Amino acid sequence: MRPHQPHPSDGAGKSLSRHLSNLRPRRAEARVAVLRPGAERGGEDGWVGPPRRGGMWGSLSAWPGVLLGYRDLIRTCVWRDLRQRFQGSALGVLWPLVHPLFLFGIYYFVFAELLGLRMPGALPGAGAALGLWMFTGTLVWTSFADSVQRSTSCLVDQRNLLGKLAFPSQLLPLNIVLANLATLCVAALSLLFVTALTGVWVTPRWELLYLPAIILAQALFTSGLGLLLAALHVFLRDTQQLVAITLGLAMFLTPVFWVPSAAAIPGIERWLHLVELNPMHHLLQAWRGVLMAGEPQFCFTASLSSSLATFSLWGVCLFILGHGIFRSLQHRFADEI
Amino acid sequence: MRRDPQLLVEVEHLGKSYALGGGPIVRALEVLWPSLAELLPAARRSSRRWALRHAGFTLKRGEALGLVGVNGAGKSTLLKMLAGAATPDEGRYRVNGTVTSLLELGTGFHPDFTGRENVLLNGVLLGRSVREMERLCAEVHEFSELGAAFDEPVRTYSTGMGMRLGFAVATAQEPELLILDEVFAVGDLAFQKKCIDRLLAFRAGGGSLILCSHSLYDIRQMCERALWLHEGEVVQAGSSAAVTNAYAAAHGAHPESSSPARPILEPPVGPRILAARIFDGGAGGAGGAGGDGATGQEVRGCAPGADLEVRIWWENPTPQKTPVQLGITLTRRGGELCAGLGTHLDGVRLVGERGCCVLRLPALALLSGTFTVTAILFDEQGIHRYQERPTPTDLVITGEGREVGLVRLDHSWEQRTDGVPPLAEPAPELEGDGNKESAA
Repeated sequence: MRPHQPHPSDGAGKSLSRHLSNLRPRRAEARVAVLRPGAERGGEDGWVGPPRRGGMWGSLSAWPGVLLGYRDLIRTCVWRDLRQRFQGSALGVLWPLVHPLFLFGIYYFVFAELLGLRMPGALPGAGAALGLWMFTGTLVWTSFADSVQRSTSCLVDQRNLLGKLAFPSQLLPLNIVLANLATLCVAALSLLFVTALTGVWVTPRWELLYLPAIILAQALFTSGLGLLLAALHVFLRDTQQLVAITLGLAMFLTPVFWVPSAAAIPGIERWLHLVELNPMHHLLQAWRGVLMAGEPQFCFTASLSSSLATFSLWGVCLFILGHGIFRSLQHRFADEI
Repeated sequence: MRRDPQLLVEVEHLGKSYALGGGPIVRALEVLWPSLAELLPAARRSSRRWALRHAGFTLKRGEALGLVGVNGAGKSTLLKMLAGAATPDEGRYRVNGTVTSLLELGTGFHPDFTGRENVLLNGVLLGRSVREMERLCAEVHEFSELGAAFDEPVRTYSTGMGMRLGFAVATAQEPELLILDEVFAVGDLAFQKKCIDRLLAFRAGGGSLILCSHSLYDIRQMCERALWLHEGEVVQAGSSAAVTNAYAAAHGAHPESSSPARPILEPPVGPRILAARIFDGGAGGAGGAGGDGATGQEVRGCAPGADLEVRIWWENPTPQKTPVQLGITLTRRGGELCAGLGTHLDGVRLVGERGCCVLRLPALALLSGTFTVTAILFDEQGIHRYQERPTPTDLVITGEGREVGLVRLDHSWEQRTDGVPPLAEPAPELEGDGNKESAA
């Protein structure tokens, strides 16, 4: 409310006329941020036509422009996503830790207590090895699984936007991935803080420098998968269910709760080359390499940098694949939804 | 091709098709791997239906274009493509400026977000900055008249509130081109008037408009150009008067007839018509002082050539804020509009807060028929209709003579002896501005 309000009946007329005088298009004003509809589709000289086949590199190279031009959209959506999740809840920002903690508690009980899984040869005085191993795994896995699951359905969930507003829909899965990565970072930092403070584990030092690269590779990998599945889900609505089942299965096939080492599980040697084919194994190894400072050493068959390199290769390939399929199908989304 | 700075919209052979049948998986395969999809039997594959084809036109800055056509003619498809919300399948278009669109009310509103958050979201989805949208928020808030509800989740809104927010946010962004699909006056009557004022101010400031409407009246009033689409093809392009006339002729509607989609109810407050009655104009005469119905008898019927008066009692509590104009229409049974008269057309001004306006119709040229006489209360430009009120009974004109038709035209006959008929029939002339335009 303005301090001195004119007479109500008078005010309505005045505000309207002021409003109308504001309405004039300001052509002279440079408006760099505003993209024309379809401008990000890369039409030459502003023309928008049917999608061209091929041109993969051209459309890949459009990403930086889209990210920059719609940075406010990304920021708003990511921030809102985070706020929505934590606002109004009693635990607030602790939730990203609570969920993995809960899962970890269950699986630790099952694997370590009931099945008697142990970590022989761990550092003396490092009884927390298996616990920390499981917890870091759960932390990264739940974040990844949540990203994939939510981005699969994001286009269908936002059907009231598609086909009515001109915006790059590839940003929808990306926003979810970024929000989840931000949550994961908070959780990882609080974990580091706790381990450093309590002294139950080796505090990582130079390994922390790998963190940005890991996060970038994870962003590429997860959003590639998210783009792929989101596009497929538009056409095949069973995708979401299939993804949920697959993720549940994959959690056990990936060394989240178990250690891929003969020292921990005798007789696993002949399966290890299959484990090597799992990109998530390399991601978990990279994260654990940082969070657990590469200890105990028998758990880490490959170095941190080689795990990261393998995973990054997966990330780039999957991003290109997901992007390619998304872009090919994108112009049909509005018709199918 | 050089970019003409005068041209805001250029459209060339634009087409859009929708896939029918085949199932979504086959349709996805057809896009991803067409050669594999061709191996499928033809019955399993999808066929395409063209919603729009070969559409071409240009629009200069500051012009307004109206789209007319029956349902399914491709109007919305064209608007969606120009708004960037749908991808063309052939041809191309170019918009040399900023665009906002209102394709459907409540477009892109997230039900759990507040009105304010949705305004921000709507802007950033269109690539605008948060800062710019925050600046517009106050304006949208004020215009939409949502008050405290602006910070409530949109799911708690009534339909009208959502519409007001949608209209406010689309028009507040000061685009160079505003695209409206059948929605340019929303909410209650007072708000509809506000919407129309806003669009007129937008036009006056040099903004361009593309809208589609079933109300030919609105198209004629709001746009100088029009495009008639039928089954996805452009039938005619040209001045809105020429196109709406041609369209109306083809569809048996009158171009001045109002949209059935906007029912006009009696407004509870504000300007309104108190009563409208038909009187015999003969007794009072042309020089009569009849201002409040002292002369003449109320009539329900007459003969052709009779003198009639239509008296409209009106009230306008706020003449400064909402100046009004009165009009009447005569509609023959069957919906054909025969005549429309208005004070704004004749330069008459209604002064004061209430009064009785007498319309004299000497020597009525109408022949036999039953006519509905409707009094209409307009805004000062004759665009927004506050109220339409028919007289309690229809006017029945009963002719004794042998004349046929709707009206008796002023005429005379002449006999000549030197007549030699011309040899060939002259070619029918096309209507001045109504020629089909091609996108050069």
